[in-house]
Amino acid sequence: MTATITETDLSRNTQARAPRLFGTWTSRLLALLFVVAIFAIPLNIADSYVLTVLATAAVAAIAATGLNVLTGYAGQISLGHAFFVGAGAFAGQVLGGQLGLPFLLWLPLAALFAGALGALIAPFALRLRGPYLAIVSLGLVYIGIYAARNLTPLTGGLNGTVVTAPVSIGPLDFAALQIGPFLLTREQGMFILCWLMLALVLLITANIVRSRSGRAMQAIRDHDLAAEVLGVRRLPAMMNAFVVSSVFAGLAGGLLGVLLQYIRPENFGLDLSIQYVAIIVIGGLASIWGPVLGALFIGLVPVLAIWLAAYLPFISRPGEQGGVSVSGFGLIVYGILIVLFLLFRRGGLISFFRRPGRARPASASAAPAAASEPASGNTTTHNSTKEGPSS
Amino acid sequence: MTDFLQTLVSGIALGCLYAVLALGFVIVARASGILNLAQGSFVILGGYLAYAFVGQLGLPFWVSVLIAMALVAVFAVLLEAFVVHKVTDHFAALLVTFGITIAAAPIITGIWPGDSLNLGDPWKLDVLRIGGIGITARDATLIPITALLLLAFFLFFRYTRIGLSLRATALDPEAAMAQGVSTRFVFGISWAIAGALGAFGGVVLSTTVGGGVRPGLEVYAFLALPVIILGGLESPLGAVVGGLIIGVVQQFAVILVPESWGSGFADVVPYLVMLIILLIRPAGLFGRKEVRRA
Repeated sequence: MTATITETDLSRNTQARAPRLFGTWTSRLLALLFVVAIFAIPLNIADSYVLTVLATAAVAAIAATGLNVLTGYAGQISLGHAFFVGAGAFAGQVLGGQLGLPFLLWLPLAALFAGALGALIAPFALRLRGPYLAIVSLGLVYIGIYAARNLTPLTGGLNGTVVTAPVSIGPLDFAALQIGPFLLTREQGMFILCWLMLALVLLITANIVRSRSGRAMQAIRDHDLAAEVLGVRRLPAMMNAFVVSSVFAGLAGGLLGVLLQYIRPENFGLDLSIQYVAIIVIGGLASIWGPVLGALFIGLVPVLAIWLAAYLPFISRPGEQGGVSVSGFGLIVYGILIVLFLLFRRGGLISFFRRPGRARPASASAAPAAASEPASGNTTTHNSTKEGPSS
Repeated sequence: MTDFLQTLVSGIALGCLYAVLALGFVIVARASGILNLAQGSFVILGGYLAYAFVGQLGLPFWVSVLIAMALVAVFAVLLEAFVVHKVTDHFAALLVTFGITIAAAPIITGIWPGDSLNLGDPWKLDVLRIGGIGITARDATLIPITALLLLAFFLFFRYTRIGLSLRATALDPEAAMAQGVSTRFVFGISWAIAGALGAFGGVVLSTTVGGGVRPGLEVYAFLALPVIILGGLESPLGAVVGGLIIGVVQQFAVILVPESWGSGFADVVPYLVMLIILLIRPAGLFGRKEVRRA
């Protein structure tokens, strides 16, 4: 209890306020543009392949945002994010498909189920400092696949299951959306649904990281001992981050299920976890828009690989023997980029949009990064403390 | 009784493999505090290099294994010097080493394509019969060789100057540096040992019946992660004892667990043991309780 008293005393003296959500006009404008684009893009692009790639990127961005809370803001590495995504996907089908719950019920419940699993696991992995979470979460991926393969009544076992969970809110069915006189295709509807959910997740995340508990995570990440001396308790702060990240993963899993319409235990293996790690490192750790940028980039890699396969002899086209497969090419790109970004550009892709050496991108030309205003101040401290010698 | 002994022996053989793989992680963790996930790339590179020398150049099996171990050790040293050493904190180092394994595996399997390449090991499917127990020739050779390897390692660690500097650095890096121990040298040696052990582990993994050198070998390296949690993250003795325990437990799980528990239960046994250990003795069997000073 003494910790609480000290905290209120401190805040009275120093007038520390939570950073504002939309600090500048630029960030407000960009947020508005983002929401407009969510509706404008699917209405103007009818190509279902492009829309599906983009919707998948949105779902990946939701999951990666969850991982970013844990890895970027709380400094804990998880290699088992796919486990929680899978838990959300199968829970979504059981709740929405088998039990027939409506969309507004099954999706939050699936997310909460993943969150509950996270709360159950967290005490194992977070008791000790060090790389324990990375190891435990890696184990979770294998335990999860084993469980999904053997809980046949719920998950369809080895064969997986068709996802029949509904995606309609009252009269609004996203599988056959009607806006005014236009009847949209399933791909267009799913695009709108996934990107709207992503917008919601980004808004929640931006609020979490500027909240008291969000700043607690970052304080522990930057210097756990100093933070604990100031009355931030390590384990609760880390558990918060872990549960939030699992909830987002579950949410993404539920959406991924209805997007793919067919899920198998193997979908949620180590490769998926690798993708999420790649997204946040390439996009930008501890930034709001980093995972979005990273997810769009990662979504492009397989498209690029299939296109390149026609020109580069060492990439084999699907079905061909020898050389690097398309998924293998993706892994090579992810792996190399993870190494390169961590060595030379800790801020990720998003940092190219920021002005170097400025704590607050105040000017109007600061591009999308400005919208992540609440995070940027903290990100800079993160970079300056950890990057120091290498930069 | 024979069933019991039979399972025990195959468990010990598996445990030797785990011990070798885990020791690779522990050596690097002791020297530099990094959880080196690039160990996965050492394993797969070792397996495929051994294949290249046996299958493609036609060298004898054991010569190929030694060359592969030496080459992977060099690879590990270069990796440490030019990549991992550039990152300053453990957080980034873990992700960087993970990235290396991610990228290395598809490159290697792209160079040597095929689902299962025959390493041409000298054992084939021979089985020795000792008092009613059948031991595969592979296990019968690998258990003593692994034991020798581990013994040599501990002697090196305990009685040589380099071993002393390794231990000194693990105990207190700054004090060791003040006494003239080059930490760069210690890191290099540690990574070289880890690379050689990883390559040996890759070869052993590739000689399982019906296995061969195959894609996905790098993931098997991660099977040693539960072992280092069981044994203690920075304890070489823990790596060996933990490896043997998990190997034996896993082999007994194959025999004893009823079929109704589903397929693949034995494969997740190491991870379940790990969760139990984290609950009752989080620092591991031989780990020291964490003490922190500012």
